[in-house]
Amino acid sequence: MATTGSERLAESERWLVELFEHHADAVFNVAYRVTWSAADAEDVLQESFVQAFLHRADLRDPARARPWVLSIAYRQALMCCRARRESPTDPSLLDPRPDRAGDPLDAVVNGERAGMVREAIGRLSEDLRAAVVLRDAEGLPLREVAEILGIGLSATKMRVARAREQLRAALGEVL
Amino acid sequence: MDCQELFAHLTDLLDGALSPQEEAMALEHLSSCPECDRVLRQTREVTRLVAEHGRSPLESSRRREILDRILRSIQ
Repeated sequence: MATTGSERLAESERWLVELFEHHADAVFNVAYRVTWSAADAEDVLQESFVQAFLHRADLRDPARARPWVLSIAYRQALMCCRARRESPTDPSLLDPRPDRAGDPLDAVVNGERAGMVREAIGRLSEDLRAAVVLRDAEGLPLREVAEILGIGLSATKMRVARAREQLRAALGEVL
Repeated sequence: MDCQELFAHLTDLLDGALSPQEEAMALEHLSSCPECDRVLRQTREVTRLVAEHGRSPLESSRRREILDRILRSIQ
């Protein structure tokens, strides 16, 4: 029996809901780490899944859904940052950014180890931040990180290494 | 392997992506170089801390709301 247009739409919607259930947290985390704004990350999350739905025919291998949707999210997050630079947002609308002069030891003394790590991540450039969050926070293999960032494996390794080195320098006193 | 080479291979070493021969050379260097050993241990701790604290969960109420917005926008 032939499927009707509404049945096909319902099937696509089910696919989208399943994709969202599996990958929304990772998409939000990457978007948040790149944009450093929860509000922008939510917009990126929404737009990423709308784009995934519109371009669902591009996903040839369902097993590659994670890097595919995260690469959409990464591009959306960069576009969001670019748009923000071109028409600057009121800084008060962004989440507090780490103070470059902050002393990591103060944070530890105050029992804010998690905050200190997040602050150090926040001091990285957008491209290094995305690389290290995908590799170490999301635990993705380097090849998948490369696919998401749209760069080669060597360049990915370099970004991860530079990010880890900058974090080590920032957190060094307490490691 | 010297300090500079060890540094260049640090990511692969932490990821277990070195060949057995390269890994043996790296370990040999580490056993005789306290500074590189310190860098390796600190970098390993950095990866652990990022894994532990580098995620920001999406609140479940926001999650539901955003999914609803997505489903409305594709109608």
